Amino acid sequence: MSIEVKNLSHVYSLGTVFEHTALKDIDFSVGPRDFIGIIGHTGCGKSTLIQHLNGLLKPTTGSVIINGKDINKEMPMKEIVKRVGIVFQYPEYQLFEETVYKDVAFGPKNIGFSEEEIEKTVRESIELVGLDFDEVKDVSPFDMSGGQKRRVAIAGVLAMKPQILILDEPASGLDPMGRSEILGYINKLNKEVGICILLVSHNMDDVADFADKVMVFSKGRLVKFDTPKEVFSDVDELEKIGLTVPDSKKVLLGLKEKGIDVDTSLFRTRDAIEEIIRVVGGKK
Amino acid sequence: MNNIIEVKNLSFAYDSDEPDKKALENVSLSIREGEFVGIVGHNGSGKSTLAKMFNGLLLPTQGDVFVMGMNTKDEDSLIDVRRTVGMVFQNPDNQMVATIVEEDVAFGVENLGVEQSKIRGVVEDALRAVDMFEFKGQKPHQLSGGQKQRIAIAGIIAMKPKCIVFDESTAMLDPVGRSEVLSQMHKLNKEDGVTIIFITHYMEELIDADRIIIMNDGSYYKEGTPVEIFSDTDELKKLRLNVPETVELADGLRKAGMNISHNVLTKEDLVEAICQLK
Repeated sequence: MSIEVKNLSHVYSLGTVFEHTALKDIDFSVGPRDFIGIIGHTGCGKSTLIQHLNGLLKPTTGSVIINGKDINKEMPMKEIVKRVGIVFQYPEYQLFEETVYKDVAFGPKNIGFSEEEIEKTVRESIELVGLDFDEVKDVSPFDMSGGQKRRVAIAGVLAMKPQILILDEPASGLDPMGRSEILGYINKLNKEVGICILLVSHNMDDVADFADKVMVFSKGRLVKFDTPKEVFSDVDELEKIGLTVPDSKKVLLGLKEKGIDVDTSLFRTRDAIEEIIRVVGGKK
Repeated sequence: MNNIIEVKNLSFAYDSDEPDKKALENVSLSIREGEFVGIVGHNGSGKSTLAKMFNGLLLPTQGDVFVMGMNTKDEDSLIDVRRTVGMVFQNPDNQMVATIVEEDVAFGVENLGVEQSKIRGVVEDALRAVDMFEFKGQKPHQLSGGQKQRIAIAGIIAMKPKCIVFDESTAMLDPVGRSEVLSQMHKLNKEDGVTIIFITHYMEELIDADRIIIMNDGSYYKEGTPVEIFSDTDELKKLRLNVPETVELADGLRKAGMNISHNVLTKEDLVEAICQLK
């Protein structure tokens, strides 16, 4: 499963006084099993982009190609949603059924899974997000905690067996433990199940911890698509476009400025700890 | 210093049919005038419910909340309570009521019955205070998230409250938007003496707070200075919280045997502390 976006532009309200170019000349390709972080300031076009990847928005120009097929020309909507799942911000607001089982089963039922397939995929999806199927299946999702609801909502998308899963700020609003739990499960989906992940986040640490590659959007353009190490290498440039680098990296940069010769290309906390110990020494 | 808010034996249940399902249970605490207080706690710990008690949006099932000595249950003083304590919520889009920035900022002031001739000046001052004066004629939807949130703050400060409660007001913003709003809070606190109560899941935003209160399962758990609160990573993790990334980094170095003081919370202090060991 691969996604190719070719020369895509999107203009809202084309031909009216409200005309606004949200995306301009976007080109990239994403391979199977990739874990991609997507970062950018508010209003940079991230959300517009992800809605193109499962056909919710049509490009003004350019194309979105999944497995060699132009989704807007050669793929019916049902086929698209089977391949690409999107978890929007605060997805728990979209829960609506009486029980967790029914809610998670809604998507696969709609795209024509058999009863048997539905039961299997609902069970698997609920377990993939770390909930106990037998414990939660008959519970009302509205009686659950915020973090649990969020996981049920993600399970509802997973149940359609997408090979590409796009998540828009999946950890926002959760307590610190809830954040790391959700991100842990998303990482597992990528590493163990092999689902390609596109993670939209304002949190540089989340992106630094998990993504293999990072897309940086600014004012409707894809300004960088590279490894986290490369993307985080230019602090000034990132700050100019409303972003930043992880704090651990800032500490390394601060040390370098004071003449301590640490490797400033590192950005994860655990790597920074090792590096500082290597250079400054542990037992002192 | 005087207490601007006093919470006494406060309990609260959302559903009067289920009085035992308490969102808050026997909470007592006070906020002093001029303080910058952070409130943290896991999802469902009661933080936001508590915040809504501070200006009478919710009223206690048991116990009392006093704002400048006024009981929030006393209907006659409710307007004064709300003039004293303003609220800024999470989603700036839900807080915009007008189609032009200055009208949006004027909305609250108008409702307070301020004379029409004075409103313009008040609104302009508020916009200047959040560095958004040049945007006064713009449409709110053309602004970035951080800018919209600053407009929401301007709408509150135009009413000149003595205390502002920020309920996860940075959660939906990008890094620059977050730091804009955070520095705005500190400016209001330092320069105008506004009491700030800041509810957040981002621990690093509370490094400069005077005091942090931890809520857990609907109850007051403990409080302390940032240094005190962030000195026990393991305890915080048990409460579903964590420490700022810099503190985690300092902790890791400490565990490897480096002698770094627990007073180190900021990046700058950590760099300094490491340099001294070199």
